[in-house]
Amino acid sequence: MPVYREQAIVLGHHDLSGADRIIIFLTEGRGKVKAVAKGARRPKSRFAGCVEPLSLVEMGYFTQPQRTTLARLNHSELIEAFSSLRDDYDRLLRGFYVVELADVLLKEGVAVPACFEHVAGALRALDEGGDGDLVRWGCAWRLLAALGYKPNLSACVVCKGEKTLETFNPGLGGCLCPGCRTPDRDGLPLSAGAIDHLRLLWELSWQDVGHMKPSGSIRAEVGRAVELYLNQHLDRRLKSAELLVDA
Amino acid sequence: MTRRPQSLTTLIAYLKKLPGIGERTAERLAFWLLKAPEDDVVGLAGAIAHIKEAIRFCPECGGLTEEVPCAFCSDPKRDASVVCVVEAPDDLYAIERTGVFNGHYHVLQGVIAPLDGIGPEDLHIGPLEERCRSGRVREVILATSPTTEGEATALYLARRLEPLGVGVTRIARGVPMGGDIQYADKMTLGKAIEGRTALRKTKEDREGARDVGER
Repeated sequence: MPVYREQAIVLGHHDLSGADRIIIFLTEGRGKVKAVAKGARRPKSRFAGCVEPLSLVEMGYFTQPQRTTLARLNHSELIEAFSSLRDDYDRLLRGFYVVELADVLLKEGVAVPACFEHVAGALRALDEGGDGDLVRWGCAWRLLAALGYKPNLSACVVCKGEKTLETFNPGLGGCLCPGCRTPDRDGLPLSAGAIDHLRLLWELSWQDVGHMKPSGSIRAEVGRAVELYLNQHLDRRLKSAELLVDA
Repeated sequence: MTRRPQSLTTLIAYLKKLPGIGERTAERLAFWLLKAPEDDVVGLAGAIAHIKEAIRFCPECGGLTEEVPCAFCSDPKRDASVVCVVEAPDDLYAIERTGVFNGHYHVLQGVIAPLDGIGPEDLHIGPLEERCRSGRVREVILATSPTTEGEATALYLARRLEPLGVGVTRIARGVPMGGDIQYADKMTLGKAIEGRTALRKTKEDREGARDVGER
């Protein structure tokens, strides 16, 4: 019966019968894991307060492959609660977006260590007061890149020329130059500034991503490009994204 | 293949739909019902059928009631200027059992849960705003659970209600009675320190929550 002990970010939970709960968390070494936390809904449970979504926790769990695909949680200790993030409704909604994104994009049991770092970095940037939308777009952009879907922003995806790039085509996975744009092969118009900012979302530290100051038009272009590219790779719209529209 | 009578199979299938009831427990319950006195079984069936007809939501507070308005909203001895907001009717009865709250309630019928796609428009928030606008309410106590979703709901409600001129307070969070501090997690203990109160309470301290409504 393999027993594991590692840092994890809690992505969500589902209530089971009684006071039990299924906790979904992201680890660096084993990817996304689903585990049963017995009695987690009771106020005096050893798991109470340690398995809340958007927390960085040290998880101790074991698996019983011959019996069930669900792991069983036997220890959890809070490392970071991201308390400032929890005191602001707008940032909290963006935190939910980040963890839902990780939950939807990542498969159970497939470890991509960079993804753990990106999710933890995004939550920390939100906690430190970084721009919520830039952080969530940066997280989506980096997760997609880490999973092998990094779009080409440095050369035209058709002719490979490094000329002026002016549109972004999510289906083709990158930018198009004016010569390669045709009515049936078009995309989202992108300014040079927006392309630069999209590159910066990969290159800068999380702290710097949260404090970028793009102009209003560039910000809108960056947001549209990331959302469009994300929708290309997701089979559904994120539930938490619906609430961001109303907030 | 099971050769159970069809009526027994149907009963087991319905019992299995109850929370926490699996196949074996449903079977045990069904066999218990077969052996039970007829009056008890008929009484149980009647009570189940009656509950769906008789129980409805109070249009004012959203709590469960047989009469409109509910017993809490129509009780003249209760303080209508203080409204305690809870997630579900079960929470209302849990607070009522403490015997320390004598105000009115408001049941949200859920919490904002972005991961499940539940937003503010899915909750019973409009009538709460109407109550606050009426001028009768001085203080709203947000008693949603201290979970991430409960906190999100409390933050949202505070943002919506504070501009209406009512005092908005949050129930205290911290170490449960009988709990040992060394076993409390960082977040709980941190909230307990933040929300500390004076040990020897003055009359003003005891009525502190009311002051919030007047500020």
